[in-house]
Amino acid sequence: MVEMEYIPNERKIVSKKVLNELDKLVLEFIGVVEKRVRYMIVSGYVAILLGRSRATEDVDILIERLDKNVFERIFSVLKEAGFYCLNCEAAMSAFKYLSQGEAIRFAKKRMVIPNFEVKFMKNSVEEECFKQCLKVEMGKKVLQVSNLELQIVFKEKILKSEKDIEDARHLRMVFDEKLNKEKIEYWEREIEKRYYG
Amino acid sequence: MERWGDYVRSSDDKVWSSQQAFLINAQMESAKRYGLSAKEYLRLKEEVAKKMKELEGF
Repeated sequence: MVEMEYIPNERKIVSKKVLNELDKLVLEFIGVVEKRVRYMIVSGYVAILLGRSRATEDVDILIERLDKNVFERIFSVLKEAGFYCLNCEAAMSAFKYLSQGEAIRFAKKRMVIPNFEVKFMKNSVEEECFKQCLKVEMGKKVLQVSNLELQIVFKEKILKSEKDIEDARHLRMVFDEKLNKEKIEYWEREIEKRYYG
Repeated sequence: MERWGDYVRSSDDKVWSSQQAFLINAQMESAKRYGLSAKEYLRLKEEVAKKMKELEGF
């Protein structure tokens, strides 16, 4: 029997899961993005990737700030791959949204959901999380996601919807003794400082 | 939900994920029949975000 394995000191999770259509779509999108910019998947899809059985209408992705020319290239390659930007048609308009701290969304042509909500990383919590992100390895396919401890704390302390609380409970249940309790306490303090401060 | 989490934790990856795929793939099919346009969807998200901000004010 092969179970999902979290290896904290290597910051990776190894999974032999059967990929569903959402996983494949995410891999397709990330396959374009990752060649040109560092990224991290956050929020609901992380729990789904790691076994939660629920739907999501979007996949949240944080990317490093980048040059407008690099962004234009990503925009163009996404278009060639069959994705479009829900917010606007022109790459520079989309870049302006991002630069102003707004999110932009991409979806497959003729679809609205599921879509990819893309934002620049914008605060020290997000940047620190990025340095500690996890790789989820599924055979040769790899996705980078935010670390589990921060995901749990963020869902329990900031988002707090019923869905988010259940996502956090799922992650706690599946990864239980492998979770770093000190890290959870650390992120609780950091979030308290940063958001309630 | 807790039973499912326990099941994921203690089962072979291929077993739980095949069941997850059944649900997710059905939802992906439904998504093809989503009723809102991109513009309508973004407007809805904006309204929801505005309402959330108002509620946070309380």
